[in-house]
Amino acid sequence: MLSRVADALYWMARYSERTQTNAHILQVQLLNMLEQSGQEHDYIDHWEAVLNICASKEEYLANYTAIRVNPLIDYLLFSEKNCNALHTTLRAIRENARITRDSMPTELWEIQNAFYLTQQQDILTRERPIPLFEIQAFLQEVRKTLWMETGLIEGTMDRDLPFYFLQVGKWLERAEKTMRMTLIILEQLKLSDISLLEADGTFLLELTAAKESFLRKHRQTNLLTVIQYLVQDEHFPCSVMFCVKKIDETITAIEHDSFSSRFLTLHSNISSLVLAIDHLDFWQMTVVETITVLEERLRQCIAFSDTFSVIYHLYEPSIQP
Amino acid sequence: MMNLYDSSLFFDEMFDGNQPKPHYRSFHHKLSFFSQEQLEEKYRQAQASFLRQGITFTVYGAQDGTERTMPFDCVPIIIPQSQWDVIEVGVKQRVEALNLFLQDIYGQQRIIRDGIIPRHLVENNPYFTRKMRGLQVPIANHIFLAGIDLIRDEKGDYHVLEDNLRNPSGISYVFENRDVMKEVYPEFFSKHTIRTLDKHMAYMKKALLAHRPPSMQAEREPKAVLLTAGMYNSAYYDHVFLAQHLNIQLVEGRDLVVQDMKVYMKTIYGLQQIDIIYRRIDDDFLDPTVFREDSLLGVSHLMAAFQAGNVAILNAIGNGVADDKAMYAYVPDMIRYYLQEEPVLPNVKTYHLEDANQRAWVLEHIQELVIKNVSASGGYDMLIGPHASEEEIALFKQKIMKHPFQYIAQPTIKLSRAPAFQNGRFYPCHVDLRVYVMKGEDCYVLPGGLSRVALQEGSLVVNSSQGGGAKDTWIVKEELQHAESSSRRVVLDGTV
Repeated sequence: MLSRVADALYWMARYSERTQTNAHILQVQLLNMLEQSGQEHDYIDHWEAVLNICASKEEYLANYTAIRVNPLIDYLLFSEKNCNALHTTLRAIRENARITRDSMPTELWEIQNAFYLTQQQDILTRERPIPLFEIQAFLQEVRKTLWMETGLIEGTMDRDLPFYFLQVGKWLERAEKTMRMTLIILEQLKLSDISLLEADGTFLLELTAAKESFLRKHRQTNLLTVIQYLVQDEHFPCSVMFCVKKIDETITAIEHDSFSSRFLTLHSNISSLVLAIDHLDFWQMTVVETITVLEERLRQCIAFSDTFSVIYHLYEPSIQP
Repeated sequence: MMNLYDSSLFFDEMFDGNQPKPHYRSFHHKLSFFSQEQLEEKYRQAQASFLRQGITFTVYGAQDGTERTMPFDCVPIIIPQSQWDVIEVGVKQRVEALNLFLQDIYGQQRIIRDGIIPRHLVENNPYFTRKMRGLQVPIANHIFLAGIDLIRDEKGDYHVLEDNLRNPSGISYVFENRDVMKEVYPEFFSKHTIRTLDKHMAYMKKALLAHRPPSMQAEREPKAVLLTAGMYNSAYYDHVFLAQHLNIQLVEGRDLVVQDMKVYMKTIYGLQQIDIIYRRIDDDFLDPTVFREDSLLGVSHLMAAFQAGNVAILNAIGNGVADDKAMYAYVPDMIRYYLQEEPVLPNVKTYHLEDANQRAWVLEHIQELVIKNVSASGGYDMLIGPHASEEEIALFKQKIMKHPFQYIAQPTIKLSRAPAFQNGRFYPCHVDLRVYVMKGEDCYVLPGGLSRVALQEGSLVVNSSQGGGAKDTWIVKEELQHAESSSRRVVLDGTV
């Protein structure tokens, strides 16, 4: 497979995952904020967290005067200044799909293309501000379209190189995102005197779309249990452990030869990450220590993605917003 | 349903007076069952289908790489098999002669020495590539894919309007038009036996892989790629379609690298040698070390790899010398010279404006003529005398006086027309036909080709960049056509 095509598939999967998560986060926050007053700490804290997870608070404040709903929606959904605005990441998915359309099922390209040409163009031309319920409906459509695509990939693609490069992109993006969300919530907690055990983890559960699954297994929603779940659970598909193990499986599938230098390098990197996650004992850690170890794991993850790109001669992403 | 128009002004593909021609009768009959609403709904479905599949072309200069579908028209061009047989023989003959011409002018130049074609016309031609002199191309074939544009005059006789020997585009539309036609208008297909397009991608692949570079080891299977300028190129869909159906990798210049005069593509496992490049970028952009230095689309030292016999480049470099509008007039002479045959398909009469006598006559009769720039395509820098304003005529007269070599003149042919259904009504539109010829060890002609239609009423310009659309083209087997017309009278329940 051409390196350029592998790169485009990898980034298509990453943008797809990023878009799904950001759309979900926005949906959560647009609902939550209805019960909060604009002056409350929670309201500001939550929006700041969302801004930092989906883009950058500094960049937002450099372009807009205050944390208010309509400018926030404009920035997070449509702004050309925000390289992770939903419109931009959706366009990146489609552009990468366009480059690689001969490596993927026709229907996958057609669904993405149809969405881009109809619903996405449609909302761009709407008069602003767009009513909240319409924004919610659009975000839901974004997620539905991407679910459908995930289903198509799982259900119809040959287990071959294009599939595996999509998988690596997806699992890496997901692992990194879960860690970033956790870190941002921890950074906010660091400013208070509350411990992990005392703090409530519901907002993080909502952001990571883990609430349903978590509550089936745990009664307490303290932040410590929530973080433990999001980082170490082996069955929850957004946990860091789950994603990293999936990456390991995928590397094994890409490299049939388990003695090749490519396999040995990638496998040893990922194994040490699995081991490091497994050994984390959050019960013994302060908030600051938790931040430190999670930052270290995030760096490991990023280092792995760099090694992966070097080993498979992936280009600098050409279609990045 | 179809309101008749005056079909006597031009040759009409479908009607004789107010009656459909025999090969259109069955189609016309089917059409009459559709209501206006049904036809409009089907039209919408067809356009949506093209858009969804991304069968679009990018409009140069438009904002944000605007993508448009080529408007599709549901009334096909139907050509009886016997007529098609003549076209097929004619285009094969033409491509054969053009290939021999290219082989000759980059070799011994017999045709120039024998005084058939003026030397200056070849050597002053901007597409004549001196670097190709004396080089052998695989299987002595310069033309892997040709697009020969045909028109019909007021008597219905076919003429060749233009040869496209560099990068003829649009072949994907032939296949997609047929697919959309089958999907949206299945009713039209019953009671017709139409020549299928199914096998022709396999023929095309066979022709492609026949171009083994001279230095290639006999036991190796050739590895072919399609070189595209990328997704913002106006014909990107064509490239994607061909790469998919020929089952070859779609590459951009930055995916290729030349080392030790061999061409490699950059894969995830390192460099992999390739042998055949079906390139869809122009000569000028192929190799920045030889042609345009500023080209970002090409591959440095590609020409050296070709000269070393390590890679085949299709269509061959320098083909433009044979398909420009000035050389066009000599193609019948080439056929007589190389093949000792009379041309099966005639040219449109062409006046060379560097000749003082012809120029004087043309300037006097410019209002009756079409003036074309020999290097332009896509309907640009062209004057259609009968439709032109006085200012336009004055401008073209100046251009001709300044650069007589740059222009040719042709009589305005009363291009044939066919009905089209657009914006809720039928009206007659001028049409032409691009026929695709694929050549490897053998020569294949895609049955039908791309019927292009000037959808602006009265317009003669069929190019998609200027409001043109496309129609499906059916080659119908006549014997079955006759059988069909007799069976039409018998209904299954036995009533007549």
